Amino acid sequence: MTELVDQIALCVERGKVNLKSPFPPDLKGQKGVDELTREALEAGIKAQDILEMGLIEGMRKIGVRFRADEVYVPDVLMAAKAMKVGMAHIRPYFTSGEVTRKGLFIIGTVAGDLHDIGKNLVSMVVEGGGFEVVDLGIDVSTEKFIEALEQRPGAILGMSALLTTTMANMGESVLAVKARFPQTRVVVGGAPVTENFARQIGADAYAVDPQAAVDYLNSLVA
Amino acid sequence: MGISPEVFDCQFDVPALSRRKRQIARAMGYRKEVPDLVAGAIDTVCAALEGSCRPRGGFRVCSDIACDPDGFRCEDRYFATGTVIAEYLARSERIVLATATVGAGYAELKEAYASDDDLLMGYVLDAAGSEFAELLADQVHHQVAAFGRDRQLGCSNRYSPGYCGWATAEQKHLFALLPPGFCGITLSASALMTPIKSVSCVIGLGREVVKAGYRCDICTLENCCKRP
Repeated sequence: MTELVDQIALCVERGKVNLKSPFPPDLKGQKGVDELTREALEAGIKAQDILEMGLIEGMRKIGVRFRADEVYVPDVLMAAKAMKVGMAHIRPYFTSGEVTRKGLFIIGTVAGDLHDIGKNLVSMVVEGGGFEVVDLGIDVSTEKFIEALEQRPGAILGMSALLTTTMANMGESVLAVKARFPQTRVVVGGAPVTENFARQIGADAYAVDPQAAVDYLNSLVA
Repeated sequence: MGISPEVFDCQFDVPALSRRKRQIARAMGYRKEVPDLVAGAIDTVCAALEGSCRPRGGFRVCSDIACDPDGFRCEDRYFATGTVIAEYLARSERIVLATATVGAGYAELKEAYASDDDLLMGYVLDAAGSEFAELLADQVHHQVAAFGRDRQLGCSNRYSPGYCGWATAEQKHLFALLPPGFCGITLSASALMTPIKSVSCVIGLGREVVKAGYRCDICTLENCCKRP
């Protein structure tokens, strides 16, 4: 049983979606996350265990390797694709309550900024980390961040900016969010953002890469 | 100096995008080998962009200008570019406002990949789209430089709101001085251009203007895409 879950984790990490998928080349012709997740459920392995030790573990590994510059964005995307296919089998168990998410994460790129690659990676890796993710997209105004939090109390908030000139908008949004929801935790990131800047604007955390975002969220729910 | 607005549409060499596949791969982090999956995706995306996009671009030459250490005035608009860019434009006798766009075809492709939930193709498209926009901006820049050469004027590098500390909000000044709907590009309330993968910039022309590289040595932004 452990072997099956370990194989799921490996296939997520390597981006092996299903039997038909030619990627990665060295796993061609082998079962992927799709088949293995179905098999694991049919074998009676708990959905929560498949999620945590298979799917989440696989995403954790690719996140760590991405942080170490061992793999590139396309590798993370393929892992996320594989994860999604596995999640499709697990989803009914969320509905029944048998499997639970760790928490809710709302993320968006700040107003005036249309860059979304980093934000999308964080979304995928955080979802792969067992959280429900609401992605507000790009060019998100302060009002939109606040509206999202009003609709989903208790969520953790993430903001991304890729231009030094839109970082000011990040500061304004964090200030407004904290004034309205003092208990909401805010994590920020993006190429020009630094730990120092995060501290200056009153954010609770700075994530230098997607895995750091997951690590921070995990620290809040531990 | 009198006001003598001159507005030009640009012509483009679209197939040139296929010659930038290596740059597209580099933009995604691949310095040496490119995996077959990614190389194939780049091939597919480049062909799709060349086939479906309808790029447009153009520029307006403004003579009613005044430069100072913090920016420049162009007609009734003041551009607070900051000292870095202002220094490069200081000797300008004319300011050129230029735009280029990959065109609406890009958004259609993006939507198609998104509806297929094809994350990889969406990412490759984004990288290729950015390279395409820069390629078009290069061609506009060349045509501006040729305009300058014909008048014995040197040409500066191009500078865009959002970089080197120049606020993106100043896109509004730039577009206010262009004909409405110029090159099919519009600006949102938060100063974002539509279609996406559009570029806007200013270029200085003058007898003593030279094209300088970005002064990355004085900038604190380590991860800027303009860094060599």
